[in-house]
Amino acid sequence: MRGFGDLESAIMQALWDQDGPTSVRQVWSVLQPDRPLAYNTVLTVVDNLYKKGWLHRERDGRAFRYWPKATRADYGVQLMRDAMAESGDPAGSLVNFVRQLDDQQSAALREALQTYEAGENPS
Amino acid sequence: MISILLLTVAATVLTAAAHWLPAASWVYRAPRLGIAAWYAALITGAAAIGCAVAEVLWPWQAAGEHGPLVWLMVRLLAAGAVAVTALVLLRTARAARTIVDSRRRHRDLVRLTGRRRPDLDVTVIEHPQPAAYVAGPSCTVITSGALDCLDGREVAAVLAHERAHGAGRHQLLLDMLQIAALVLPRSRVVATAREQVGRLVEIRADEVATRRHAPLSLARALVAMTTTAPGGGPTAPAGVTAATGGHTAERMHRLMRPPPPLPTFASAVLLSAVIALPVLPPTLAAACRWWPILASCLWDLWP
Repeated sequence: MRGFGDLESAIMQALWDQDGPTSVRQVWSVLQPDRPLAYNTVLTVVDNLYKKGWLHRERDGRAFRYWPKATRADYGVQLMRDAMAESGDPAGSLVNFVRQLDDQQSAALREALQTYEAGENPS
Repeated sequence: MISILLLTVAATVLTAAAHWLPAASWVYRAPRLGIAAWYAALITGAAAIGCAVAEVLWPWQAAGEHGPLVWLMVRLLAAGAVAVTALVLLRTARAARTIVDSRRRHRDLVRLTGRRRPDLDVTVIEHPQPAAYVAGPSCTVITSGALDCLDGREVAAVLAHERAHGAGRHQLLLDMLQIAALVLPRSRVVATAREQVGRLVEIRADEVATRRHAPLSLARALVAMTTTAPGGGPTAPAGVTAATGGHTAERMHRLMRPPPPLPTFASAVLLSAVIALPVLPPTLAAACRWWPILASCLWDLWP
């Protein structure tokens, strides 16, 4: 069985893929093809996500409709800032493929690549 | 006396490493050996200093024979050494804790908010800036911006590079040096080691990635990903780009014009030296302790 965290992630993805407030039943039916889960399981996890502060909700009849507090892009910005450790110690960041360079340096790099490529196939 | 010798060993090894390793061509040709050499130098330095302190404190039981003042001084010195050691250990533990916690938070957020791409075995986070990094064991991250600007082969090469970081435990190697830098914030040698190991893990990951992927794909990805995305995104501070610009150009050169690998004999000699070096200070200290004649011989050699 897959971990709880994995299910939380799947539910967040489902909520982002839906536009606007979504009922637990809708989330459950979206997840259904990949994960044959009990409705109550989905309800519990959605409620947990709400309690952890990831979701907004509004009352709709007897049930609630939920939607994420922040967009994927908001979290993307937060994660990138954290991973690249913009503020503070640059060497304290996660080891990443390459750091951004300023325009002049990246232009020089592009030119260098062209020189190497030209040297590779002298045609 | 032996302590002075040991401190000289520490100073020599650390100074030699800081001066010699950054420019050594064998380090460029065999980056993994270079990383090992940096670690060997730092461990040797720390071991030599530790042995020197132990050597000063060793005769503390006999100190009573030299009168109460010597007895008191030796005990004060011992207490001081214990206090300093405890402080260093405490700081190390605290720094390690901070790093572990922030890594776990980051990984959890990646897992929760990122989109899984099982076909590439990667998690995609939404950001215009092309980037890729390792957020933990079997948690490779790439931005949507990177997927937008790279072609399939380039993405594969970049991911191979990131997995090489993961397999080589490069993050751990850098984290340990980060902790060393937090404990000893003014040490030039530690700062140089950090910067150099940072450079060498990239070279090493490039080396591993190009076993299965075309160097040109990786080089193209390098160019594409250093360029600032039109959508803005977090621009690295100027100081950081200045420091990494040279290393990135070096990586490009190494990808397109790879140096010949180190001859087997040379690697064997260097590897033996790297293994033998950290053993030297404790061996020296123990030998001088058990054969005092050796100690006096060494002392006579002193200019």
